[in-house]
Amino acid sequence: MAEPDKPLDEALGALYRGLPRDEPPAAIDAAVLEAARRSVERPNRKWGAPVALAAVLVLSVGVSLRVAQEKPDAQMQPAAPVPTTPAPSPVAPQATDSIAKPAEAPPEVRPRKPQPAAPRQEVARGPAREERAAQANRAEAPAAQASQAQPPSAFVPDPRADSAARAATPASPAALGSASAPAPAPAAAERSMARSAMRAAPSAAQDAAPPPLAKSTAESSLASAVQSPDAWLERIAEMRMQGRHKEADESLAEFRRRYPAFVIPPETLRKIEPPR
Amino acid sequence: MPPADPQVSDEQLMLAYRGGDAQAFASLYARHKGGLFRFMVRSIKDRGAAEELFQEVWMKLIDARARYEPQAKFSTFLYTIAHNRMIDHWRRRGLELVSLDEEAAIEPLAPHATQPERRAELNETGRQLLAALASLPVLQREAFLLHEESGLTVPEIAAATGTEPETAKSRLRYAIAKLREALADG
Repeated sequence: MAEPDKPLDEALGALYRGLPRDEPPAAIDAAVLEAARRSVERPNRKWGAPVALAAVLVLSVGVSLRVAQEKPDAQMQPAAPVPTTPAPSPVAPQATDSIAKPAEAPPEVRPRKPQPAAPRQEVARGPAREERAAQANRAEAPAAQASQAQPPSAFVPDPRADSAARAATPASPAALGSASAPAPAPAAAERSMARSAMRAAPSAAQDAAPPPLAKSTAESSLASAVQSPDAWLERIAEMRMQGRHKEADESLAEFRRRYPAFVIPPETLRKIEPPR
Repeated sequence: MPPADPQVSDEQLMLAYRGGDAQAFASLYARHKGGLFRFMVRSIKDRGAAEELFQEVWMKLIDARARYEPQAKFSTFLYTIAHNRMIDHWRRRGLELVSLDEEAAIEPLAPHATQPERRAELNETGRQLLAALASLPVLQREAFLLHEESGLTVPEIAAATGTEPETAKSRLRYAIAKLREALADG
């Protein structure tokens, strides 16, 4: 009020200031001060970003810890079915795969696995199919030998296949299928895998589960293709004893074609040669 | 009510309140509540409406806490809010802004002198002054009250009321002249 050009009369000002000094009611004072206090205590928006950042950090740490806890389990799972004895055998990878996969397969998948075995048995039955199978076997066998680069002129047991064969417990007619059945692969892929295993050489699964007595040439050919030479010769001898000479002749011919350098002992030769 | 430290300016107190210091607001309120209350009560006929507007002004100030910047005196800021609330009040009463300066824009106050409990506190001159104040045009009375109750200078009155300083000065001169005339006649 100390303005140079102040127009207000000092006497008038003094008179006005002499009027009663009204003050607001106490209730209004309390209401205003309470509102001011609440405004300060109210959560401020500027805390929004730090709170959001803290929440993100907490979530990230939680997820990281969870992943870290689960990781060792995930690493242990595939370790169990992996074979510990590596072998450079060309047959081994397929055989071990077919044996190892059941351990990886979840239990709930197993009941639908024997399905692929049924079509294979159907293929082996019936005259037309028998013939086709026999032809396929004959056609595939040389190719398999070529692909192996070292045809088994003399049988060399595969230690890994043997161990895998011992692990394969089923010895039923569907042993071949059940050996690879638990694998979670589709049926077509499974059949392809089993066929390639049969084509390659005597496999562990088939050693462990020899097929039943051959009911046809195709069966005997299929069976002989996966037998060891000695077992093959014994089976031919059994055919002779049972009077199944035609099958025995075909199987022997196949044996000689497969193992041209194999020297058959004279006593065995007497059992498997056609009667005179 | 906490005593306000006279060394701390209004602007510092408001900045402290903006930062979350409720005690600073209490000091600020203690400094200005009387002047603002009398400004309202002596500007508006209805005392209840005046008290309501008084409270609204402080609530507006509380709401504007986070946006406060000390670009002008705090009292100018406070009475700008009060002026705007007052204009809204006049408009609700059907008074046009352009007419508030005119002689017809007179809302007779209920002077304290007419209230029995206040009558004994006032001498004859005081009653004459309040009666003359009540008879002033709205904006001239506002200019006088802003000058007396808040201590605003003419430029600050102009800023608070959104007018040119010459207009504010003119209103104030007219108000003083009429009051002096009324007292001289009385």
